[in-house]
Amino acid sequence: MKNSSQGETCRNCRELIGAALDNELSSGETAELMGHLDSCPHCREEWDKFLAVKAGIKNILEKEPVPAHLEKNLSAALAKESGRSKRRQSITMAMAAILVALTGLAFLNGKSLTEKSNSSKISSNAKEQAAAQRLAEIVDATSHNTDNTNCQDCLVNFVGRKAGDEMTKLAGFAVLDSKLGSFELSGSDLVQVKDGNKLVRLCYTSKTDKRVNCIDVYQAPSGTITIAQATEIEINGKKLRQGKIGRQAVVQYTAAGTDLTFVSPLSQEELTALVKPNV
Amino acid sequence: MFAFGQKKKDTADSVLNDWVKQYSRELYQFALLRVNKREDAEDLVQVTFIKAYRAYAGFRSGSNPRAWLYTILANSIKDHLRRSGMSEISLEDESDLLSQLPDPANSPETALIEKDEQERQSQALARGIANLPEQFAAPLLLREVNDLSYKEIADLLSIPIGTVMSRLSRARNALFEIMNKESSDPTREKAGGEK
Ligand SMILES: [Zn+2]
Ligand SMILES: [Zn+2]
Repeated sequence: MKNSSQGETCRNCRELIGAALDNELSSGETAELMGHLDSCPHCREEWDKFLAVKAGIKNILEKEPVPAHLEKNLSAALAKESGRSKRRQSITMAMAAILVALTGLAFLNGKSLTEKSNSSKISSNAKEQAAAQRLAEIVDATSHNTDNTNCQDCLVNFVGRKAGDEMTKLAGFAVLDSKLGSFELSGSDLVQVKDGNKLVRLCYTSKTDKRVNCIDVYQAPSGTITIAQATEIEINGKKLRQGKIGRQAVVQYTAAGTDLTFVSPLSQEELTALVKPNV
Repeated sequence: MFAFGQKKKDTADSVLNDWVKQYSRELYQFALLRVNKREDAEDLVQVTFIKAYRAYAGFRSGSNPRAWLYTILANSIKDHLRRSGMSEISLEDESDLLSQLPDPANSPETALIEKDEQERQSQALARGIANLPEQFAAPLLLREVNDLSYKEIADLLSIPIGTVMSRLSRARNALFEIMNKESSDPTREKAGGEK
């Protein structure tokens, strides 16, 4: 640099300032640059500018600590995903317990709602199995954690933590908030099926209950989601339908023209108790 | 569909949990500086790890997990910004990270004008970063948050090192202007005398 004109030296220096601050220069190069900075206020100014931005970013990060629960929540989400993928092979069969009738699909087994029958019994009806297969895809693909990877005929949009009015606007039907004891909303999905139907999945997670990762609440216009082989009980004059999906408990009721279907690894009694105040 | 064998999946479980310990904090900070909302940043990091878990079968051992996770996160952020229309946010928008920080005027410890000055510069800077176009924000945050070398950034973004340097330089110049603009309000400079 010594042999260059002042202007050229400065130009060279300017290009190196960022690299020096980023520890990308050799110690020799850095020493040479520092020598120039000592004698050149213009380049020194440039140095101070870059330094201010770097310090500013560092300052923001220090003021915004990483949440202490971050790692724990991520591990829990991964554990849940692991469980889900392990179940994936058997989920299609398990899903035969819950039927989603979407446009273009036959409305299945209409009388099954009031029919008390063995929930492990899986219908051999070909149509029903096709619908269950389709259902499995849709429900399996509605994880709040990720975009759709498995559902061929639907599009899953993770929309953050939305419920109530916000979600209603997106879905086009009344989406209701749920109060579930110490569980709180952690994520929402809007599931769009190619034929135009929409389904909402709200995931509620508990900070206190280590046994259960989440209670998922599927919502759709009344009549869209049907639990096969459900038993019916009455609470506050309203009908509550109970069933099983694999080893998970399912509870459903209808309000404001919307079916709310709760799916959880809790026991039937526990889940019903949590859902009750909403009915 | 990703069909893991049982063995492969157990590996994915432990590897992903290791990655959570190693990389989740920097990924969170990267996301936070782009979306300016803690909940969104957390959600985006979670989405990233779940996607990585599901796609783990396609991850070549020996390649750089950090770069891979970053790529997934960057795509998730792009989706997020597109969906929420946040890419159109103006500098005046208040619904951001720093507006959630305690107001320096209400804090007894921040009577010093210097602190107040720093606070406003911080807010301007955070808004500036969130509003930087992706091609400038990515190298800047990979450098400042993730502490990657120029070579690593160049490889990750598939751009030459010279481009990394010029984008860093342009981003920093722009951000300095934004910080400086906010702090040059003359009515603010005399605020210290009132107390
Ligand atoms: Zn100079
Ligand atoms: Zn869930």
